[in-house]
Amino acid sequence: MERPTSKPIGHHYLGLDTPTVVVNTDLLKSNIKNAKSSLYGTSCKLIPNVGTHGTAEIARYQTNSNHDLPVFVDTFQQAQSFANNGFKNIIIESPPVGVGKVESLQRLVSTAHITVSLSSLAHLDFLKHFPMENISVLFRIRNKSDSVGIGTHQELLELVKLLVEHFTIYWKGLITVSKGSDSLEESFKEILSAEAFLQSHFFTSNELLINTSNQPLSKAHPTLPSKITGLISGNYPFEVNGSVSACSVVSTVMSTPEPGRAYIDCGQKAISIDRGIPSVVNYENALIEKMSAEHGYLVFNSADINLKIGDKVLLRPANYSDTFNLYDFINLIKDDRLELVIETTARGAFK
Amino acid sequence: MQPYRPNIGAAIDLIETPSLLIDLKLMESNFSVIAETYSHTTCKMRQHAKNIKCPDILWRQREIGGTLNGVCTAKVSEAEVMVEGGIRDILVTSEIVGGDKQRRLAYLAKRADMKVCIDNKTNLNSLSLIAQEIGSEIGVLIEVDTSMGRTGIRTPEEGIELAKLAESLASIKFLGVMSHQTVDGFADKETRFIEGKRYIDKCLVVKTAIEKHGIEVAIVSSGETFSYDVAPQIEGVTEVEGGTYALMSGPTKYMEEFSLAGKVLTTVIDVTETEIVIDAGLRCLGGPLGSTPTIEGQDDLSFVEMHDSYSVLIVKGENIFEIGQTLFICPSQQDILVNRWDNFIGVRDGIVEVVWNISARGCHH
Repeated sequence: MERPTSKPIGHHYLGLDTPTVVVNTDLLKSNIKNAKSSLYGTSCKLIPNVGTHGTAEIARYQTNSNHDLPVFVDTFQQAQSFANNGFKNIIIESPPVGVGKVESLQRLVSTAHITVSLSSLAHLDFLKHFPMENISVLFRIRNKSDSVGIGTHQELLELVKLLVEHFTIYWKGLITVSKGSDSLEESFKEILSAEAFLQSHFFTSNELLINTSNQPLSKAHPTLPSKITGLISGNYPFEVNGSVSACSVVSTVMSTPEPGRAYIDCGQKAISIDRGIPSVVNYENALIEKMSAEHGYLVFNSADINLKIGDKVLLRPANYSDTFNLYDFINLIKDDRLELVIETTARGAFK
Repeated sequence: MQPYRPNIGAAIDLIETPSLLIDLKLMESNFSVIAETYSHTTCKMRQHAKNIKCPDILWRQREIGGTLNGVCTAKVSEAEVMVEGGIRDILVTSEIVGGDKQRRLAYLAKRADMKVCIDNKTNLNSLSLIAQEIGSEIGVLIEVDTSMGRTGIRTPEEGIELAKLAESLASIKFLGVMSHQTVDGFADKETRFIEGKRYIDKCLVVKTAIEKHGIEVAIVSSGETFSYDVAPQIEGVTEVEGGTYALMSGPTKYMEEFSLAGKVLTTVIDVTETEIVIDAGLRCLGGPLGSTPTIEGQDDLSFVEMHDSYSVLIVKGENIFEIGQTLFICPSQQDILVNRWDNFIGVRDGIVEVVWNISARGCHH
């Protein structure tokens, strides 16, 4: 794995070893505050998807170091990483399919309250053979934007009945994932409809959670039904509603063989292009044309921009989660100086 | 946190998913193709470490043969890992910019035979000053842009100037020229030979131009996996920078003599009427700009959505898949996938034989 930066605390961030990922702590804190304030006046809580960054430190900013507040992760290994760091209330997106994951769950529940998201009888069966305490279940339901989950109200009812009547595990409620930019309202409708159906059969959901898939929270707020108890989001510490990004990747120009073109030391291994090409932050009219594994291809008008070997180019990732996934360390900066180097302890926790 | 490590001797069906597996027989067969191809040639393979990032695997190719006992790396930090792994002849195939990285390179040159590519005078002068200060010698090869439109000199004249400068600088040893190449899409053998030779010839033009000025060009490092069999047939090429052939990936399937040895084991975690969900997503597989992997032996399955930690695949025809069933994913791009994992699980005949740390993972600097 990469070593952390060789530079001391207090060093200017443009002097760090490149490529490297930096997060501005002031912007991070203000984004977290703004995101939380967007839900003021509602009974809905903001649940951080801490799998996005994989660091306990940023998760603590998000939860005000209150380890009893819920955090959301994608995998069992990520949950273990956060449990190891003292988090005591963890929601896991993946169902516990396979002996290894069930065993992970058994280890996890000894230190934290774990909520798992299930969508089939087979998922419940995995839990049946390993009776546990300190665990809750959410049933994941489909909506028009997400084909994963329980498809019909009747199936849902049968699963809820089975769980409540035959398992010792607590049924907490429902969750659905809103994918795509205009799918939040659809998700609200689907989850409320499912909840009403269960209610008509005398089953009450305590939690109705929407995983926003990192859509801007401002979109949720105007139409947020009062029954929704939680919105799950991962991006908000880094960017709220298109604001200035708190996160960038610092790279260095390594070659300028032709006017109007420069090659930087940051390619796909240091900034993901899985969900889009990054944008250039500090040169307004420069663009990333493409990226190979090790290089970024920068194009610009040489009449406007004079880039030399050694110059620093700041890139804004197209997707934060994909980029944090590439780094073992994140550099937190304040007033342009290195403040703290934190480890992405849940990086690579794919299981 | 500690990466997952299955027990040595465990059966493949006990491996937790998703996991990155190497079929050791297939990898060794790929290595044998190289050993055979270069058994009687003066040109040898300089395996690229950027693809597998693991000294143990590079050592395995050395044992099987065909190499010049040195490797390439893309970064100084990768080179550090290789030196720590006992490899003592390294060519860094990217320009190294900035005093700190050049300093790391110069210190490495005290412990190993370090070579680096250059394409401009500023960089070369700076390398010389730092190597002098540290008291080491760095070998340099001029990078020639032959097809990538990326780093590298564009004309032989630039090469002559740089070679002359390198010859004049203290703590710098001018060694030769190098280039990277690529072919797009499916390339048959005829295309590989035509395109491979065309690109390598551009590099040789620079070599000849430099030699005309009385400067010896000892190394021509050119050719990649797609031209591994082209380069040794071209007089003057001394080494080939191949990396992909070790594990292979989807886009290079046209190289039929090599087998796909690196695959991701995944589990079906949900099933609907027409789709399945697997426990491997973008974070562990990668999918640059929407490119998707394939599932081994399952032509009726195709990826429709890739999310952080899971993917949705559509099933053509009857959906007979079951929750808990395992599948093998064939990666679409090997080296960016490997860069996301912390270890390889080496499997032979369905049994875990070895777990290797991918010790240069994330070595970005």
